[in-house]
Amino acid sequence: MSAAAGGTTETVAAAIVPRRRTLQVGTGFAAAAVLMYFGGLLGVYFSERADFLRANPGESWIPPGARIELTAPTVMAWTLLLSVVTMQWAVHATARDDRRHTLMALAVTAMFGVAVINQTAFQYAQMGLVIDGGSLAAPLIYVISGSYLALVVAALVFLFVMAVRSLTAPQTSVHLDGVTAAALAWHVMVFVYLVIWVGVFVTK
Amino acid sequence: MTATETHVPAPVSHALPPVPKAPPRGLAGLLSSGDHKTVGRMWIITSLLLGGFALTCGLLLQLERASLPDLGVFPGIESFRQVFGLYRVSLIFLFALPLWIGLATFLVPLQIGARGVAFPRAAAAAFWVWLTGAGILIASWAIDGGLAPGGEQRAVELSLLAFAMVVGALLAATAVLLTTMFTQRPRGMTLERMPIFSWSVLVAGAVWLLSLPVLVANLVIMWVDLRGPEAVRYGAGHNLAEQVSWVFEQPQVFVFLIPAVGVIGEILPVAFGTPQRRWGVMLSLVGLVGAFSFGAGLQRFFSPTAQTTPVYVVSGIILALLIVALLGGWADLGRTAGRLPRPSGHLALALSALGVLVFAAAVGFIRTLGGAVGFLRSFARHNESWQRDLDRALAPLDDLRGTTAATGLMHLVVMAAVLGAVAGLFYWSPKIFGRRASHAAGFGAAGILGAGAVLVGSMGLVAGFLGQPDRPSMHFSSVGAEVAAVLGAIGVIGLLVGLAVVVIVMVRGALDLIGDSSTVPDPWGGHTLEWAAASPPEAENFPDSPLPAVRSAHPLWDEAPSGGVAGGSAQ
Repeated sequence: MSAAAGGTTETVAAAIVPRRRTLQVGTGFAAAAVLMYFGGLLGVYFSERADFLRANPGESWIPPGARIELTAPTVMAWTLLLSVVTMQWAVHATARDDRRHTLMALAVTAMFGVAVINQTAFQYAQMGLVIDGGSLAAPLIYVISGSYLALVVAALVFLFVMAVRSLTAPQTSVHLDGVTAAALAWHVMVFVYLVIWVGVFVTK
Repeated sequence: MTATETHVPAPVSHALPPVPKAPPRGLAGLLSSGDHKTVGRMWIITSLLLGGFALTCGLLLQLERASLPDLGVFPGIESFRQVFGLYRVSLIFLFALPLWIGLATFLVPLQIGARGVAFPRAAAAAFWVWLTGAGILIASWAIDGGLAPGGEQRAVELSLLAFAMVVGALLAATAVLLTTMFTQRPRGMTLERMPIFSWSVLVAGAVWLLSLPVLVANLVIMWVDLRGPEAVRYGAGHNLAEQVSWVFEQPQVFVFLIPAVGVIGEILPVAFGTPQRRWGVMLSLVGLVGAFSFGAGLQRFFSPTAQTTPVYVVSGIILALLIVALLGGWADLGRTAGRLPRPSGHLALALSALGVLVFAAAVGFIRTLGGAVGFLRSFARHNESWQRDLDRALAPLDDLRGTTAATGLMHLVVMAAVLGAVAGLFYWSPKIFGRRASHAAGFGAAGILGAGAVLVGSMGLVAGFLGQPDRPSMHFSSVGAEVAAVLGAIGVIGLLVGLAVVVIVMVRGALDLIGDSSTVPDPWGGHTLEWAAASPPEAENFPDSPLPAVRSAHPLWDEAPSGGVAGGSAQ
């Protein structure tokens, strides 16, 4: 660092040393966009459901023949909540250069993510909801849950890339920024699901 | 391969540093570059060319409106509606917004004293994805797609995906810019000391990042509905354009001109040679313009009364007042300087942008009052005479909803944005192309683009007062609206001529840049860090010279021998 301490001849060498946490900040902005995307989807869903129930009092928003059981979504919510703990475990282990625990924590987190994909597939098979031109709910529920599935896959890919980067470095803490960014993305993903769980599945 | 040779490493003292690989030049250099300056130039040139395409669509629409109730330009009403949709989409997402992204990608790192953008590969990828999406978007419209009834289903699906791709790429570029501003600033460059253009990009980028994902959500809902055996509601042809109309209307449309406020705020203090007073107030005003432009929650399709709610009306009125307040801040510059600014091409363009911006704010205010009729009437419910007066005064404004006044306002806002961006291109031409853009071309472009924008916008308003629906229809015919459409067509021709002047100046600049042109670093006596870099800036922006200390929002004027202003020096 060559910056002089002060005075009128002071120069700013800090341009050569950019601030840290670039990946975290970038992930934060991407997360904000993702939240607004789901905010848009859920806004349309709630608005349409309220209009339907106002126009058709006593009728069910979910079309006849379809079942939205609460079991699978609730299991998914708990799975994701557990993954928050394991993700933070990964961040903690990475900061302490504990390669073994970093690997274990990231693997368990990824496993929870894969479990959520599996449970979504099970839920799709179980609920019998079809886009057949007769129901407003069907396309909206598939858009929301399908977008969420895409978000889980994106978070898993991010997690995998950050895991490879930090585990191939001489010290895992070299890439703490990346693992923390992946954790931020993961936590946002979990938060989005909790909103979907309450807004779409619990209050259906 | 098995290696049998033994390798004796050279002594450390004799080891030479690795020779950096020269970056590829020519087309390979363009395709593989992650340098923010190259990527920024590509955004700028491409969006200007696509702007010509968008305006040509606008000209065809005006000519068609002039020949109603018969169709003289398009083969059917479906084509008329499809081109109308393509025009609105391309004017903002292929022209105005990418032009801002280009200028900001080029300039923001220089203004904040950074070596480059935070994620150079993501910045380059965003450009290429946007360009690919733009190509698919136009192609999908050409094969009977688009956001209008009567389109071929697969082509409409392609249009929706391409539109989402374009918006996604613009969002990625925005996220890169915002991350750059938060993480790459040198010491001393606090957020409030950032130049006002960078600040306006920060504000606008934040609103884009928070509002445009909602547009992507709309597009995905339409796409999924359309993929089913029969569209239920969202993918139905007659509902497609309506669901995304909030992006092209008040207040959301104002978010696309926020950086123009930044460009004007950069040019005026340098032209007057005096720093902007009440700096914090000006930054706050820009921030408030961003806050009150957020329109993702006012979707007419899902909430038909959205444009008559108090939130809509109050935010519209405040938006107009904020622009008046900004105008007051800039007028104060003239009072402080006590002299007229030095005339230049970029100053003429900035003043032209300011004029169109003020006109747009006034039109927006008028439209907002129309939305206020309902609740003003409820205030006056105990007095019939007041109600009659209100009806007489405001009913014509209430009738403007759903008319061409909406597109007229969009024209004004988008052209204020484009004029602001062009003013920026002329002002920063020494940095972008290593040569000063011609002042004569700047004066010419300012006059033609400004007059064209006002003519097109005001004719939209006139046709709106005559009751012409915004959505193309063959059931409306009026001599007055025909005349307005002819005048509007003349205005669009003016815009095309003005844009051609700008494209010629920019292409000439790009050719000079290939020939390694360069000029003095600071021909205008600027006060922000980019003027400390070479013109055009070298790789990594400030490789040899240390940056001046940043102790205020105008660091180069702080460094001036007089300790004050060095502005307005050379021409």
